[in-house]
Amino acid sequence: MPSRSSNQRVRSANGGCKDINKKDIDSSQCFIHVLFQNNLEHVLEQILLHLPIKDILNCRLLSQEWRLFMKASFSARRICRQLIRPKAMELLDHQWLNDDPTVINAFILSETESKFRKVSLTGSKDHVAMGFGSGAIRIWHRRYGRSKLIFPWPKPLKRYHFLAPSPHLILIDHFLIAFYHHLSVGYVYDCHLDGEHIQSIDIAGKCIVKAFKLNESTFALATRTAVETYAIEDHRVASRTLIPAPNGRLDSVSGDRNLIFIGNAKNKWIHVHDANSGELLLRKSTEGSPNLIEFHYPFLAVSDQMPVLSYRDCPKCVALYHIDDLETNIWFSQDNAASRNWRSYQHLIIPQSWNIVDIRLNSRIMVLVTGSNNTDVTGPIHREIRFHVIPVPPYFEKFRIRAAIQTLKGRGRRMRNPVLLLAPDTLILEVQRDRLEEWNFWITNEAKLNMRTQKCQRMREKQKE
Amino acid sequence: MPTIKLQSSDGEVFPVDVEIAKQSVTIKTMLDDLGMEDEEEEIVPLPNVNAAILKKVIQWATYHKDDPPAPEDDENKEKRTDDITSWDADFLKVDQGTLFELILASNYLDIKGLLDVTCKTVANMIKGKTPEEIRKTFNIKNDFTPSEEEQVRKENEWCEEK
Repeated sequence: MPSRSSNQRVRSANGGCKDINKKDIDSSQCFIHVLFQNNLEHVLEQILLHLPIKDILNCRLLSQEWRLFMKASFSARRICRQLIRPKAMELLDHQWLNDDPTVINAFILSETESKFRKVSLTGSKDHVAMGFGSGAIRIWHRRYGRSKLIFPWPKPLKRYHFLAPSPHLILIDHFLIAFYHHLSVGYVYDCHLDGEHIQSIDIAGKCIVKAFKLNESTFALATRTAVETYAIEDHRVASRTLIPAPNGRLDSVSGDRNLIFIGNAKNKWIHVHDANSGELLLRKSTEGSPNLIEFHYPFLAVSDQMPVLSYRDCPKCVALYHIDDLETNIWFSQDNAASRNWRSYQHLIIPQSWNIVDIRLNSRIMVLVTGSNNTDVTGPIHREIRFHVIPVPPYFEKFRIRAAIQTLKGRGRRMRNPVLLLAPDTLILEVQRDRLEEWNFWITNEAKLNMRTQKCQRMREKQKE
Repeated sequence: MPTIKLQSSDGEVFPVDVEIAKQSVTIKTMLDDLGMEDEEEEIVPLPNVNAAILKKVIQWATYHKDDPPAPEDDENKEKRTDDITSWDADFLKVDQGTLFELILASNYLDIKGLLDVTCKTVANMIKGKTPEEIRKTFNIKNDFTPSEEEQVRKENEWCEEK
């Protein structure tokens, strides 16, 4: 197979360009193999999607490389949807595509639950859990769709209807932990045992700001003055480390893997701690950053050691950082040297009209939630909520930012307390009054982001039937 | 009609109508972001596309300049491969190397129509063939052991008509 250039560069699917040497397109090699090597699987996928199921399955028989590609990258749902065949749905149950990450589910709330607007949400590989102002929690199995309503042990909190904050929820492995700070208690449920209550945790006197997952066995509970980490050991949740907030005040907090970030608005510092030992690793001042004047703490988020901060003015932007060289001594050195390791990846200038109400990110995308911030007696009301979904490095290039943003409008003119969850396996969950939707996205190349959702049935329509 | 100059990886410069060039989303974004549209003398370098392929791409884009914008992909719609126009079919009667480079170029330049039709052409080269025939077409080495191959065949059995 002849090559037209001696050193051609192709755009790869996961960022940047990669050189293809002439020998790569040599006649001795299958050109589809070159697509694999250059992360252009999305092109191959596009080719295969034109084929009938039988031909697609035949491709599994070509070579080990093909078989692995089909297993890892090819979406069973996509095959089924695009190649409408009577037998196609069987594919979903078949072993080699069983763990299809692109399955989209819609979770319907009961009418009673949908009345409770204060909701919290969490997710794990297998489950999604939603907490309500009544104190109840509904937990869904993501693959099978079955759900279970759990009431706070030992009995439902009827007197808290409409009034109580929903529980702070954490799902780790098959354990669901629900913290009710107005009851000074946390409950641990086992999803494998159909939501059975297995443990209580005393949190008397603690006003919870946030509960968040650190890794597959530990999570953190942040209060106004400290962050406490917990670990699951021998099917029990045990307290592990207490990290005091800088100057006794915590204004924002986030964590990921083994790091915990604590923001103090008063002195404009962020402290970075080792989640296991509690040791202070780094203090980062936000003053003196070029072109960034005001540091706005509430919207601190972090994933894969990549914290994101939002700034309100001069210019209005979201700054995405990346922390590297964690192993080097520089990391632990004096405060003023720390900026060497706190590398600014990207300052994303956002329109002045955007009012950010939340930021979430994982290793692939960042979601900015914007909307107005009016309040009434029951709390914030957001009009025209929008979700701006932006791939994070290396999935975007600077000149592509504008094209990369995909905006999703919140449905309905008024939305209270929109809840968004960016699950570890890159799914977004949006809660509305009577439903929860699971969105699916994938990044086709450095800049392009595709999203889709499946409209779910409204509860009222279901009742009519 | 305003023109811009596109420079291939091997240095050849092609003057092209802006509207034709803008079928490439990559070029369109570049022009929009860099404000290059008004500067006629500006040369847009395309380091990833050589002259021979760029010439073919321009030929395709010129023929299709009046086409309506390609519709968004409908995930629910079955994709067809029998709707390639006779002009496109003739245009793509090329060797595998050229076809491959056209796919790379249309992916890099983000020209949906050209990427679609080139992918369909490759799909037609796979369709209806046995695994052995596909291997031969694309020079793929079978590295399965007989037992592994048998296992995959068993896994595929559910699709066989009974």
